[in-house]
Amino acid sequence: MKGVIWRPHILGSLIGAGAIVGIVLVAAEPTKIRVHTPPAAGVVVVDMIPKTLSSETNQDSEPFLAVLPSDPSFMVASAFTPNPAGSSRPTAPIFRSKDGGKTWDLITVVPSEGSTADITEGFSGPARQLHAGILSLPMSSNGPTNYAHLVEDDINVLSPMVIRMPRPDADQPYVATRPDVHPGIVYVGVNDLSVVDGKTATVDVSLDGGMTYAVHRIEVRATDLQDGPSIRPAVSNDGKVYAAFLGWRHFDRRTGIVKADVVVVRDDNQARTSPAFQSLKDTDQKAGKRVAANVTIPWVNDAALGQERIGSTLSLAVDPGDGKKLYIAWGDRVGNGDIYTIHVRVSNDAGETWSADRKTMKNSTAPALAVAKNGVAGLLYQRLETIGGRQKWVTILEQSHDGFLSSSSITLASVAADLPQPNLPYNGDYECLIAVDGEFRGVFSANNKPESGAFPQGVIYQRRTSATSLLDDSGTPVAPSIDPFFFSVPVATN
Amino acid sequence: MRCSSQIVFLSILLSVALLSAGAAAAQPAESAADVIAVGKLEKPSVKTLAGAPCVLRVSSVRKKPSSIALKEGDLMMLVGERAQKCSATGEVRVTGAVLSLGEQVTLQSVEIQPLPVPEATAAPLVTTEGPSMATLSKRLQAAELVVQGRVITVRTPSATAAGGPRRKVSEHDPQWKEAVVQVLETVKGSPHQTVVVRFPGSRDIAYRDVPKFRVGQTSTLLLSKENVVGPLIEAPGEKVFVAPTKTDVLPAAVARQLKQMLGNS
Repeated sequence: MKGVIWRPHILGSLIGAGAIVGIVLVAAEPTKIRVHTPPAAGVVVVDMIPKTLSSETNQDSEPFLAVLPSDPSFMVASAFTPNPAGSSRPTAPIFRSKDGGKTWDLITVVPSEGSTADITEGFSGPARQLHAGILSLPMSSNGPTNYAHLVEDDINVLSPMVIRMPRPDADQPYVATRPDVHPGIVYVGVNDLSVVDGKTATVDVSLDGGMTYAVHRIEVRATDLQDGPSIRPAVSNDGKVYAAFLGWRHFDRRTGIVKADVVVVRDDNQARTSPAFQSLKDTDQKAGKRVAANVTIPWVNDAALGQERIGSTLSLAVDPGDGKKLYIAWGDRVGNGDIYTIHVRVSNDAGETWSADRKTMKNSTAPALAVAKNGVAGLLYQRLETIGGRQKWVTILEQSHDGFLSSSSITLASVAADLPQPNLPYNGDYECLIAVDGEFRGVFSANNKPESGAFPQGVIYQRRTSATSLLDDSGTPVAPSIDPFFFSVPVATN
Repeated sequence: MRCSSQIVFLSILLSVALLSAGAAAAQPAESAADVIAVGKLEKPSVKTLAGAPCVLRVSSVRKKPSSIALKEGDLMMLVGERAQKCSATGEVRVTGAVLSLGEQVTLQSVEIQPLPVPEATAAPLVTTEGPSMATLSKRLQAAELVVQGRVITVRTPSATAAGGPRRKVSEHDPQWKEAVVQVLETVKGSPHQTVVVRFPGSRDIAYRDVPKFRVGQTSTLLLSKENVVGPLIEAPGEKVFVAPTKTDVLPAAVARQLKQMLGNS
């Protein structure tokens, strides 16, 4: 094959114990990666669908990302991507990159039939030990979800991940890890709907590298049957662990309007003791600081913001260089003609006090916060805009060195929002941003059609395309759909 | 090339026909395989796949999932746990399950058979968008009732039937609907004039592959109470079932062949 560069490629053992390392040759063809517009300096945007799936038209929404701390060129990502071999297959796929995100392949290692519902992941502990929280499929025909923790000691081995502590009736597992200790520590925020007293916001904590988990309820105030779906842990390097959640105080089931508190809890000792998350108290002497009280959240499990559903968006990040500096973003309805508005606030004292809104973004959703080592904060989000008479989903990354008193922004994608898709969420109930050395890396999902102006920073397609169309293996045009995109952007200097 | 609905329908009929014939033409490993391809091994060696994955240069593809790009001239990686050797120097027939997809396809659980193996020279490429024979057989066994029927109404179940009015919510709520089906022909199970099929009306991703129903639809339905947690509340005089997988809703024309097959077993 002309133009092929052959490189040795190390694969781990495929028979488990007694590792035998095999070396095989893998064709690496950088010349076949299609770049539609030259990338802006240092910015990389990659459509993660591999070349061998060029004909796929799945709605690969709600992406997430994990970066291996000991080797940041190695990453794993997830989305609602089904097993290409069929929905009855016993495993679902995740994405893997070994070159810092320039290329991605799909590996079928998640024990869930054909695909998953919610899935997030993170590395912790020994090299390449991957943890995931999933809602596995199939769902029961008339009842609760199937929630499970997964672990794989070496994700490069490509064997199915091991299931730990499955239990029913939980929602939106969200993984955060403390990878620099051994054994690794894993925190999974989850809305445990099996709880009878309505205090459903929960953080499952593993202090032994994912072998066992302790269940910690973090809601202490009365709710109207439950908390909101999103529970977001954030781990500091100084032993603190935080979690944010939306405490549902009143839910009008007829209108779908929720009155909620935006709450942050803290544990100063890695949640090693029980009861955990009691270190931060509010004026009512109860655990959990109310960053914002009695906000109005429209719970709409249908198209509401364009074709996207709304009602659970929330993100929390801690400064790796200052464990007391926190950033939070959530979505609610202000009532100024907005459908959904993101708010961003900052704390400099471990959550004891919070700023007023540093930013508000109207008709936006899926904020994802991260903080780089130099203290620059990143904020990724998607906004529905009308541009040239056409509705578009605009994916934006903002960076700020002063807690979002000011910020710079770049547009990663500006894509047509009128592409019909069968499922919800449309792009995702959340997306992901991580700070890695001198880069912000993240994932978002968007309309994949190659169009002029759709990806202002440039885009690299692995799948086949022409200048204006996706193509299958025979060169026939393929209908556009939602794809997951990886990006990396240099961290701004202070 | 995308698999058309016509190809899906034909692949289902082919599966049923082969199932009816006792599936003698297809070995269990091949019917379960995601990919069947013919080609030559690059750099054959005496090592087993467990020791060193090997690479196949594809000369023809016999079976593959419709969404996967794989054609003559492509390279495919083969890995396996068994003592399968990568030593054949001539053309081989390879079967396996998809493990990973990148610039190329990687198969696991691979079996390599040196040719000559009886090959239908004009055998059509089978793109697997419809159910495999193994899946169809399994669903048929699991079904309590198999009917050909027409959906006459789609309704929202009563609050009682749906489990009560005041419940916790999540984005994965099924938003139950019921399809009232007029039974045209009973293939398996007790005859009914009508049956009710409860299905998730939700567009949530968790139900992406769970069939939904519309008025006027005529299908062959494999019905069960499978994977139901707790009681499936039924109104008086009604029989309520679920059809939770794609294989449980088949073209109407398949009913007669399923009936013949069940009559033969």
